[in-house]
Amino acid sequence: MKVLVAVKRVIDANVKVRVKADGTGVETANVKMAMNPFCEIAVEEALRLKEAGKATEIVAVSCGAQSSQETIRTALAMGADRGIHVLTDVVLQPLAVAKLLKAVIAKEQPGLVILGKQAIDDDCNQTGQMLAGLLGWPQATFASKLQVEDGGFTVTREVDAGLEVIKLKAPALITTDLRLNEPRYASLPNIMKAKKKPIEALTPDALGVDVTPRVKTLKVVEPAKRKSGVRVKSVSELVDKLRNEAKVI
Amino acid sequence: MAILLLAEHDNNAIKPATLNAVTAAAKIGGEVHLLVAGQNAKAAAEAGSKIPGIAKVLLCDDAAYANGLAENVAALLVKLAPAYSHVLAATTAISKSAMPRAAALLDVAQISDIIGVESPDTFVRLTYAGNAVTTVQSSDKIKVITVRSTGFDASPATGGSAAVETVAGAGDTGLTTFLRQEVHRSERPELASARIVISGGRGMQSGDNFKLLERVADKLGAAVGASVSMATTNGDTEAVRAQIVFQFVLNAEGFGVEAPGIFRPCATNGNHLAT
Repeated sequence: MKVLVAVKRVIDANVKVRVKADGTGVETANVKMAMNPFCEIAVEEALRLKEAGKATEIVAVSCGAQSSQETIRTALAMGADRGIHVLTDVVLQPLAVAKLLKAVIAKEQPGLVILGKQAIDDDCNQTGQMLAGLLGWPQATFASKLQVEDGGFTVTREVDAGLEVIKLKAPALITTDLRLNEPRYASLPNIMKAKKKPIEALTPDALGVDVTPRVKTLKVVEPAKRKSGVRVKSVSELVDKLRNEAKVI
Repeated sequence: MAILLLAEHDNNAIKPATLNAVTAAAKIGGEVHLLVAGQNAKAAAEAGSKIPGIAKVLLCDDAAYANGLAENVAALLVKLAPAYSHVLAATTAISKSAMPRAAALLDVAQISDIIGVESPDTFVRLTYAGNAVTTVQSSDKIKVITVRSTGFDASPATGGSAAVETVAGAGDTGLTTFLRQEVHRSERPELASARIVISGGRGMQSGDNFKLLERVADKLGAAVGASVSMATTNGDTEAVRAQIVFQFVLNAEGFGVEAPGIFRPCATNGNHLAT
């Protein structure tokens, strides 16, 4: 079974994001970038399937500017076999990415597609579901456990009330939640080896996909500042504040 | 212009998060139709008909919707959506899975987790885990939107009297099969819909100290949450937002509240609470 993993380049999770003064977006110049943490979990899950003899090949795909290649290299250094880069300077929105991935999947014919549940930049939580819909495939979002079975998959999902277990027919699409696994670090020898692994270059035009944005960002501002805490002297003062100031009891 | 609002329900009652989405729908403007898709969900539809501001309840009672499988719910939304300018739902596990799927099949974008309505096509949402507030405008014919409950006040649950109309389902796609649900046993409210959340962060030092929070939470009828850093340490995530969050710390002077503040509380691992 071939497994396709989609990976996104985002501002590193440890970087404190700064909103630009002109309100057009957040500062990305000279900011450390990294693979979206949920995408790392997706790559890790694919690697574990291969190590368990359930997957034969892992293809890592990223869509975006030239720099997205670095994120594909990270996936290759973790252990993916080859990469596909859909190159465009258009700022891609989830629907456009889903359409691009659908076109790549039509060429690659994987048995399983794994994505992160959401990217930590736009916090959309859409691409996997959109892609599954466009493909007409079953989907399991927020997966915390994945089992490969004859002709399908059994997936444990994190839902509002606890966990839900569903069975999916193959081929299927899964999006990862944090508890699915703990991603490995790439070793130095594997980082060196990854430099020789192939990355195929494609474009939206070559795939016949219109990536025009549907949603316009009008402005981006900082959230209201958090008020600093106060120290109360007694329990009765705390209860008074809870009752009369916060109005919660 | 009319709005289709997907109800979150348990077949008997409408979940509170939907009431916040009713307020968001009212801000957009236009007739609001509440879609109750479930199995033996007549009681939920009747409860929905009492929400003021709902013009009509669409009840789709079919085994295909018994467990809220995304493929089936999305297919139903795709079938009904062309008659509407907006399709809304409160942000819940079911809507997060089904709404983007439906949006893609309608060839429209989704606006996720809005906290404000500026106009019928312009909405406010948080990005970068709440570190940026983004105003976006949609150019799509149908706006598919999920609503963050804490961005809007809850509408009243009773006082209205809308008609309940039965609609036919869109069939079972047969792509997925529901096997079982493992509900975390907790007397506390669900984190995602709790009015009050008692939250701990690094100041609580370790997960074991969360027992202190649980006792406070039980007194207030609150859910227990944790900051992202704490939840990550405990191997868990799923950020949620509540209307009121208390952050507690444990330091040399003892155990105390840091003050109602802003928050990115997360679920700690399952034995602490229902996530």
